[in-house]
Amino acid sequence: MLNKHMSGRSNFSRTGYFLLFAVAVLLLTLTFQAQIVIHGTAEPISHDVRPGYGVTDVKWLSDYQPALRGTPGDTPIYHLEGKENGGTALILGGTHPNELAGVLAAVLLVEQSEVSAGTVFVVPNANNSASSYTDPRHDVPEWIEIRTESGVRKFRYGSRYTNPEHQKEDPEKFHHYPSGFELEGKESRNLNRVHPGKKDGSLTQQISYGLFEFVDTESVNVVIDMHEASPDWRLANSLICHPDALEIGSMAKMNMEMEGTDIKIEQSRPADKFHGLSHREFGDNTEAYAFLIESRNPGQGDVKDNVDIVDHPKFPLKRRVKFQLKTINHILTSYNSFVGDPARKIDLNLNMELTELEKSGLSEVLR
Amino acid sequence: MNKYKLLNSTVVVLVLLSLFFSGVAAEEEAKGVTFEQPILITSFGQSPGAMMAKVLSKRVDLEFVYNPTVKGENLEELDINTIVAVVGASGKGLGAAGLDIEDEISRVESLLQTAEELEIPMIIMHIEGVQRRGDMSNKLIKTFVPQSEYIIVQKSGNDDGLFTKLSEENEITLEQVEKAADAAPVLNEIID
Repeated sequence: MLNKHMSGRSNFSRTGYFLLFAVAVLLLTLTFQAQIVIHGTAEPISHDVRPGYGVTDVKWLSDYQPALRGTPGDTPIYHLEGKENGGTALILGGTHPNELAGVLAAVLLVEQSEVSAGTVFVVPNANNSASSYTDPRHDVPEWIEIRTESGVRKFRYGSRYTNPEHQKEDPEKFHHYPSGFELEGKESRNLNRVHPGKKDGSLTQQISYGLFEFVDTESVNVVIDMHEASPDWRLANSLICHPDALEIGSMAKMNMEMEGTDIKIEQSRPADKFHGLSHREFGDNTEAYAFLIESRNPGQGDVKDNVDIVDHPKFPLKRRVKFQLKTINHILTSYNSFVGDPARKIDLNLNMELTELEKSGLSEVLR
Repeated sequence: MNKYKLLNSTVVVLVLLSLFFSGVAAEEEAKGVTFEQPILITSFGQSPGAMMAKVLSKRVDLEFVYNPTVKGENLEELDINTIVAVVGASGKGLGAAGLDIEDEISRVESLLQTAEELEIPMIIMHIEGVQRRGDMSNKLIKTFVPQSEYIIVQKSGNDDGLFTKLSEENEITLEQVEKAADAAPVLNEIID
């Protein structure tokens, strides 16, 4: 019995070792596969952003969606809190990091603005994974360089899409969550097609989910997403407003026009016709008034070789950045007038004249 | 003596100014058209222009009802005295309203038929400039501007002279403004 037992024990041990080995191999395989799928080991890339006196705190998107911590999708959120209480605005640059005017306008807000009432949150690189590589399909520089008093500053010319190395292979068709609306597979990596995101979804969906969590947690009143478009596209030079925000947008448009800046205004496409866009989804799924700005970018659309996206004769970067900042300023002023409540006021002050920005260029205003 | 001359001159200037400012209104009145509050602000084409007109009307304290998709059958119950229609087509706006361009034309035709029955005059505005001048907008402009009693157009939206032509052909007063916001004092002036 004992021998049988012993013999049995001996046989069990061999089987047990085999099973343990098999389980270990399986676990290693699964871990390896999980790393491929989740790509959780890569750090988010850092950018040259030099916070000015207006910045009162810096948090991470992963503070609102912990699964992003330690991934290439995490990104800093700069807080500019005024001395007076008031409303809150979230300003996004780099949803599409190839649309540089939005990125640079956000960087300038962090470096050269202060808030006297309310709080403004700025995210210069909303899709940080897409900032980590330059779209190989376009003949554009990987970096742009701007010479400032502090030396040469470099900004990554990123891509429209999340880095394919950070998110598993594109599906044949992407089905927007939660609507099921069908888009091309690569749009699963387009932050401005996946809103409002998904907590346990792809990296891009998790970035979006984090932004929506942020807006809810911080009770954000105004969301502004900065974009660029091909100069010939019908929505270039536009302010697109969620229907609830159309009155604020109309006020902003007419006030800009009085100052000599022409801007077209449009409202979001209806929710049953298109899904995933920031102005539509933030407006529908949060309490915020949601806007999207489009400046004219000569680096998009039918791009000629060696197009100069910084010092383009017709659409220089400094003018596009000025357009973004001017539009933000008018949206917030119009919002203040629209709500007419000092307790919800947002006063954002740039420490520079916008006319000066166009005259002297970005090199004079970046830190 | 000088004092009297100064007084006389001031009176003359004031009279001239008042004649100038009341000239437009008088011209409309001579045609038997008066624009009175409350007004209905609506859209012909569902562009954001109607919302801009709402903002402008607030600025000059006009009493208004804002309904960009109002139907003819609902006009009487609104109890308004003037229609201010902002013409301009937007695919997004039409989509949001669940309409296509043909639906929109039918809606406006029905609205204007009821307006005629109720003898409600109409001011047409185009205040989004040349960027709101595409094929769909042009179709709406050519169809409905001739049925208005007054036209306010932002100059860049009349670059090709279409509004001038329609105004002359149909003997409708045309007021051109430099900026959209300049339409507010015009509305304030012509609407009692």
